[in-house]
Amino acid sequence: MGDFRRGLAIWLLASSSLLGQSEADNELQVNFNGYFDNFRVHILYPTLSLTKKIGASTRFNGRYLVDAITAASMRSRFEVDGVTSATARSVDGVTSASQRAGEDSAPEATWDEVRHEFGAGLSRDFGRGGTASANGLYSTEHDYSSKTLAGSVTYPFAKKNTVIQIGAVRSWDLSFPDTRTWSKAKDAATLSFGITQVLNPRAVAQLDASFTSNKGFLSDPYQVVRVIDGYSFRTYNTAVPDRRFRNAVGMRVNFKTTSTSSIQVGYRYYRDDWKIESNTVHAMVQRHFLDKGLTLGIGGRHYTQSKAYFFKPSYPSVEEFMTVDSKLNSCVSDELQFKLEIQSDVLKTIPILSILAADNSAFLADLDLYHRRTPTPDWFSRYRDLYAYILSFGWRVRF
Amino acid sequence: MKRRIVRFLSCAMICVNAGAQKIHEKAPDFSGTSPDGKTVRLSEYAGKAVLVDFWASWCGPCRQEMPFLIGQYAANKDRGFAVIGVNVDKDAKNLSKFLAGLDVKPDFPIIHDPQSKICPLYGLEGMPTSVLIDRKGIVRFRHVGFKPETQDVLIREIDALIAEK
Amino acid sequence: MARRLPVFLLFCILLLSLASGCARVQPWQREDLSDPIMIFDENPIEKGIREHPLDYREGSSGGTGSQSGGCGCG
Repeated sequence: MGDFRRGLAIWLLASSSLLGQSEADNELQVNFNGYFDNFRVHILYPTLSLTKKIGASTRFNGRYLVDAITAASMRSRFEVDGVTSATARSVDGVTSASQRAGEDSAPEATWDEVRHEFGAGLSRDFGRGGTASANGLYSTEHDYSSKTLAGSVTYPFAKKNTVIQIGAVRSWDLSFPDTRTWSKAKDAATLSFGITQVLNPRAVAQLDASFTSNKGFLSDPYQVVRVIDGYSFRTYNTAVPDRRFRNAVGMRVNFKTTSTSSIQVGYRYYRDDWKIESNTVHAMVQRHFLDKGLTLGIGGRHYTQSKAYFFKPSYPSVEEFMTVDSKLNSCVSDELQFKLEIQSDVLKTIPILSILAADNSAFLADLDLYHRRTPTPDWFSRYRDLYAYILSFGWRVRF
Repeated sequence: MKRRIVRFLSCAMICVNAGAQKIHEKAPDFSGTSPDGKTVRLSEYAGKAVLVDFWASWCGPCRQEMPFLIGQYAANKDRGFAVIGVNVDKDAKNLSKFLAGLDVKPDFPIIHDPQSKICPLYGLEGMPTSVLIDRKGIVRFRHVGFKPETQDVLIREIDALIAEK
Repeated sequence: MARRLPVFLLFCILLLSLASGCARVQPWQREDLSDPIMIFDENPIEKGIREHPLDYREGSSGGTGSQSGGCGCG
């Protein structure tokens, strides 16, 4: 579950004072979000965010998120070949040798993991439209903690036709599984550069590049590798390099197609020194209805990825680096996204939802349908196809 | 390659302001039509301190500024102060909808300029832009943007121009 | 550094192509750009909600941009 712990650090790089475009200086947003997939991973992650103006040019932002996770792969308790499960949770009759989706008899009434994430930050406008922001994030759960600091600066040129964005994120993570005597650190540092350029009165483009260095314990203590030698196998903990350099560059363009609709298209290229290369293309169409009281969006995303150089579907012998993590396998994924936003004027005419219709408020809903296919089965679920959906309901009010 | 870099830098760094109006210059005269069909001309306000406000209903700080301007005009119109709003909404419906939603309606004339013929005369750097013109027709102050915290500066400048004879 | 070079080169190529297409849009011409559907990541929380599980299911990260755009008012 390692990267889920990275949390919503990307929030930290969003520093533009877009509230300056509205009359209101403050904003509160609450979301109830859920992720569900056929690998039997369920995550509920409600979020709360508040932005408050605290001076002529200064804003405070506070955020809170809870990740409540159930994942069968985290639930099993076993000891095989001297390798013990990372969890101390007691689940009768389940061992790694018998784990298959559907055969797990563990009760699903409780969460396997609950993670709390707190974030706070300040942003300040400075001369001629620039903005500087600093944010901190702290995340905690029973076997993992993470601290993150982020800073960013945006500065406009040429009557705000060009805006430069520079951001930096530094995080310090600590993993301390229940059944281990060690605690291991993982650090990450990211530098990002972006430029937003107005192309004409109806089109705007953005270019973004990010460079990340990860070092430390980058494995997942909940995953185990079986080395199959003829008719026998032994179980080992996974082992991946303790360094990773990740680079990505992306470009996207927004076009206003009619007075009430827009289309956004984008492409991102990624590569790292684990030899993973990926290409992502996405597009989204949005349209206003009812005099901008209701906005619908439909989008799609297609993603292809090559595998890490040390990833193998099976290991015939012990190797320096061994992993079963499906996200390091090659894959192709597709995503379909639906979004809905209803402003207070229209909200007050809808039964039940009308209770949310405060001044300057909006109801938000999102549905994402996701499919990922890997060439070899996932180590735990034994499926090649992952089907998932993300459902989110939110309420935002500006005051 | 070098030419492209220079072209990009000049595009990004240099503001397009060739021939734009500056402080202590004569305010360019202009005229336009209000939503109710009346013609409004700047030169008709000669001898008064005038605030020309360039704004749009799609601009948040512009909407924030409107009640302030309404209040200032009401307080000072009998002291030789005038306000002219120049609205650049493409659709007059949006202008009317915004004005209808105000608790107190503006008493001063608003020109609807959907073709934006007046804005280039004043070389705006941003929206909103408030241009303060003295009784002799000279531009004395310009403000880009609006923050409630900077209202006092505007009030002092309006009072100073009204006090000049 | 050598690992980062191809990505950096791609960034520069895209940057130059962007620059060659740039136009000078005046502040009063930004009505369409002020529309929330024209703003990149107008709701960054929503973006985070969507990308949160993706980081767990895919091996890439970064390069997705940040909140920007709008009328540039104020």
